[in-house]
Amino acid sequence: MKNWDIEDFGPESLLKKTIKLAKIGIYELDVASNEIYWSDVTKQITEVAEDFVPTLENLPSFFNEGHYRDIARDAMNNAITKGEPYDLDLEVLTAKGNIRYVRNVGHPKMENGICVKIFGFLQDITDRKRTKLELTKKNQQLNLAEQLSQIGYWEWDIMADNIIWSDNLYRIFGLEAGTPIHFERVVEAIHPDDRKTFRENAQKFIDEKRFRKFMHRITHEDGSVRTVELIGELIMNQYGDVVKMIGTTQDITEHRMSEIKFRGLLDSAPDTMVIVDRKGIIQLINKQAEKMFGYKSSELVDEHVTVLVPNRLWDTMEYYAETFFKTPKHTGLPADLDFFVHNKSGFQIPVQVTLSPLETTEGLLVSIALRDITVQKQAAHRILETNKSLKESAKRLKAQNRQLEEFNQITSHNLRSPVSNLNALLDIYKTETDSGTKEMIIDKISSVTKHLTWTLDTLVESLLIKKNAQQSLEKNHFDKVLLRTKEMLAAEIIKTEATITYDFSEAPTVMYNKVYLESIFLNLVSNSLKYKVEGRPPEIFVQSKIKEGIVLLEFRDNGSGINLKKNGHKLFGFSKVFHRNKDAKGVGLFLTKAQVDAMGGKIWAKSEEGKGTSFFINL
Amino acid sequence: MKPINVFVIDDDEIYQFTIGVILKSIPNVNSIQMFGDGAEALEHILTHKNVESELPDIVFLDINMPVMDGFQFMDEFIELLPKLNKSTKVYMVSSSMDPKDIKKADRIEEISDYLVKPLKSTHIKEILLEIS
Repeated sequence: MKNWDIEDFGPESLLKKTIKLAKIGIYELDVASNEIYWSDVTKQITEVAEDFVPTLENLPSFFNEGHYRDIARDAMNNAITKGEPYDLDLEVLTAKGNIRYVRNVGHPKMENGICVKIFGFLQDITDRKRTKLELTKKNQQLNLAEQLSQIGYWEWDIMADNIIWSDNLYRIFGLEAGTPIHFERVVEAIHPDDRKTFRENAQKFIDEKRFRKFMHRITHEDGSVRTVELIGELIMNQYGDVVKMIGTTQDITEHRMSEIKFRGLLDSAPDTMVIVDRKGIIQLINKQAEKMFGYKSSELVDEHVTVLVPNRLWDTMEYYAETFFKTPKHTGLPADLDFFVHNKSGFQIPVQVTLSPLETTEGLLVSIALRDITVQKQAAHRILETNKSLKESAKRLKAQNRQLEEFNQITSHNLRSPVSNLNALLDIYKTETDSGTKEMIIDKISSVTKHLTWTLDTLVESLLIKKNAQQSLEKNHFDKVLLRTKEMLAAEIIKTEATITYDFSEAPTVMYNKVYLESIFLNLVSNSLKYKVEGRPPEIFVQSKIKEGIVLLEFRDNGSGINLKKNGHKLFGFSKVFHRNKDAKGVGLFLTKAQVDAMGGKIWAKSEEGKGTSFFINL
Repeated sequence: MKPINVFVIDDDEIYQFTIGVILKSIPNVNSIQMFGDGAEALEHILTHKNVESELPDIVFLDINMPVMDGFQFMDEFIELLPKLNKSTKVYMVSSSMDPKDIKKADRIEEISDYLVKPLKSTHIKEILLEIS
């Protein structure tokens, strides 16, 4: 057996053990004889049998044809011809057909400028190589992911003010990878308008120990502007001080552009738009919303939508929200819902609400469109008011119509009948021959004429009542008015043995047309005297009260009464009488009603036949 | 010619006089009774409901009267009619040309016609001739 020099490499046992433990294979090439020695480990690495004899001829078979085979051959040739050592990472094809990675280090041994031997080490680096490859691959993937999503990673060591950026972050900032970065260098790259906020944010996050997502713009050296969004978290030391900040920066320029476009669209909408998520958190509002609510967008975003709705309507809102999310579709809330929102100063605004689903990458959002319907409400209110006043004037017209009808009836009956009587009398007069009868007819003609004159006078009087109503309002004391009435009816009162009592304590006076008031008293009291029950002295009681701010007069008697069921509709008619009383002319109540009506009041009666009558007047 | 009993129910004394003069000039009028309102006439009919000669063949009925007007009288009279052994014609007479009154009278079957004052004597004669 040949005595190999390497066997003498030092304290044999120690070296051998070390090399074996390190799994380092050894080889030696004798250039002159072309003989090759492989250690056991070398044989293990190449997976050959223990009795394998390596030769220059079978060496290439341990490499796949191509790159590795070439560089291995070249390295050996160079070592032999030029004495150059080598250190190569090679891919090796084992005898069993497996691929292994080995580090191959070779040292030529020179004698008189000629290479006589090559000593070499082989180290199996398959595992390391694999890990490295994996890592490279992962890194490439990560890089790709960063590039694709336009995200860059950063790490800021606050104490040392040292910032580490991923390659892609350099790309996002338009800086060469590896450029040293510190806080002020970052600030320098930021759009001048956003620098102040950026500094403030950094300080705020450190103070509050909380990172909040934010955006800023960066200006590239070529002047182009990008918008980025930062997400991060804080790392604290054992004392709770913030020492590090890590996070990602994403270029959201395109995203932002589409958002800006969307915003533009939102802002151009005529209605107030509030976009909320499923939980009711406000995501976005438009300019109209800022105007309507008096809040800035930044004050509302991330708040719950309930800040815009009065408490009393929360249940209503929830109900419609639930209904909406059951089957999200364009939904207009009922027009008569009477829904309100309130603005920053608490002022409530009536709105018409429309809900629409908005599919986004972040899930389903609701776009709430609000239309201020104050004007419509006011218009509706005005219409109602107008309607009311129309109704009132219709009522007035109806009343006037009724008066006209009444008047029509008066002319048709009370004027026509005396005229027709006159005609009939004249007819008879013409054919009558007896002078006594003729005389009688003349008498009757004169009495009809008198009656006709009286009727016309009364009608004129009633017209004047309507015309003069609003003239000469004055303060009237009821007791004085009653006293004068009693004086005027003194004879009748004595004759009928009537007693008249009164209670004006609740309302002693009234502002009224004096002539009318006296006429009302005179008519009603004299009626009570006239329509007494035979053999029963009249008892008349007059009282004034205040009901709902209006003076109410009552005249109560114990007279014969009227059947109101039968005659109620004629009670205040012209020339309507209900008794076979010689003095009944049927104009007293007609005129009384005309006076009360003209003053805007109301008159009505209650009566029981044989027991008495009460007249009530709202003055 | 059958003798005719005529009732005039009207509170207007002048009218009572003028129609009285006309009726008296018609030969087949047997009797003329004047009443100031519906209630008076009704009272008379009630008291004489079995005495045919006291009951009217024809009634000239005014609308506007105190106590009981023409329509109120008709309400009572219609109920009484089947118990009377006599057919009676009722003419509503009024100076009113109010269409409401005319319509109301139209709806009452027992009212033969609605006459507007003043009544012409020729017209009254025609009516009375028709009956006899």
